[in-house]
Amino acid sequence: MQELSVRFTFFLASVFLLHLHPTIGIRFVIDREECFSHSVPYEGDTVHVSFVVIKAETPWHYGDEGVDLVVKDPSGTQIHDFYDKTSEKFEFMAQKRGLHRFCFTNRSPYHETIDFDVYIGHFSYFEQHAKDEHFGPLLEQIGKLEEALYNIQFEQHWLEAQTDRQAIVNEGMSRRAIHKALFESAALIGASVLQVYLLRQLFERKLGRV
Amino acid sequence: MMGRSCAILRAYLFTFALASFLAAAPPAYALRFELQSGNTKCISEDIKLNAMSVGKYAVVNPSDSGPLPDSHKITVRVTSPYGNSIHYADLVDSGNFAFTSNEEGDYLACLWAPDHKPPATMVVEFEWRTGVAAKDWPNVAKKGQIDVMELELKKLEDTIKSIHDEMFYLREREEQMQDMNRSTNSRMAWLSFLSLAVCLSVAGLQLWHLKTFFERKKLL
Repeated sequence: MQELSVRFTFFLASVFLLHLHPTIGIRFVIDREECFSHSVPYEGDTVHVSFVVIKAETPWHYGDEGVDLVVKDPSGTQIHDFYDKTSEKFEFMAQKRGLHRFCFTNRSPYHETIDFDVYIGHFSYFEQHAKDEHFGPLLEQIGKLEEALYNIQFEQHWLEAQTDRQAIVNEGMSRRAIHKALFESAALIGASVLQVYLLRQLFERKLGRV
Repeated sequence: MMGRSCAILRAYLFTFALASFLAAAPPAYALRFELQSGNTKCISEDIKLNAMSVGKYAVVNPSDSGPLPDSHKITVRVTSPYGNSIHYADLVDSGNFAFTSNEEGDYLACLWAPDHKPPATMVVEFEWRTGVAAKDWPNVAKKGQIDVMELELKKLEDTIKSIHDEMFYLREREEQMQDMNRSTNSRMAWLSFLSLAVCLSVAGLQLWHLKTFFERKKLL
């Protein structure tokens, strides 16, 4: 009987560990609205979500408009909503298991590239049941380590997306500096030529009359 | 004594094999999105050099029984950053792709739904894993006949290595951005001097031109 229960917990532990999947980070282009669903396998799982608006598809436009995100649980009740954000990272405990919906709405008139990442942490479930069943302590610790590492990967993915966004902003700024200087010089030269021309016209008219 | 421990080991291996079979079964952790007929959805992923990548896509059957209707088929194409087609499937309802990246950059997976009257919306389940996540761990276990602990530790080692590589990449990007900021800073300084120089020289030219003009007209 002892042997059987040990084997059963071993089996459960293996299933849990092999099921720990890392993040699903993807990048997509949003037009007006885009919805995704992701299944949360167990009730009580911590769902970590992050998104970053990488860039607008037009080279000349610069604006700080972000996107709206609405998170709904399987029964349709709204869990979280964010309005007009360019980047956000948050987490929540899933009250129900099943397909959760994440709906993005674009606030700017242009297409935007969005980097979206979801990571589901199972360990809260692990903790509760570790007391009841005697998981091999080593496997338990390994499970915890794995969770922590996937968490780190999730944070890193968000950092990478933020870095990409900043790189695009910086490049835009550098280009704009040069364009500004060229336009300024051209405007100055144009204005002074206009001034000289007008003064000459004025004096020639006055002199002509006199 | 030997026979008994052998039996126990075999029992554990069998349990592990069963568990890994169950774990590998359905892609319950994939992302789902809606695709309207006649529309395209593209998903991109930044992949480093020589990284393994595995993807799975399937059209979710709206009715629980019966075959998938003909209108619910999609065309999928996966392209590399330089435009080479890595995977192409025409009018299928599910499939998968796997490749090792030869180029570094944004890989694009585009899914088309063909035009249909009346316009139908289908739910597509999509999964794309790169690097550590793409390795088929249950297979590695079966091949090497190693136990769970060692497998898990190997997985951890690979994950840590990929985190380390990502950190190096982030550091490089940070350095690039610092260089760019420094160059933008110096460029702004030089360009403002240029603006000032243009302004002064243009004013000087104006003065000189008007002076000669008035002297010619015998006003000065």
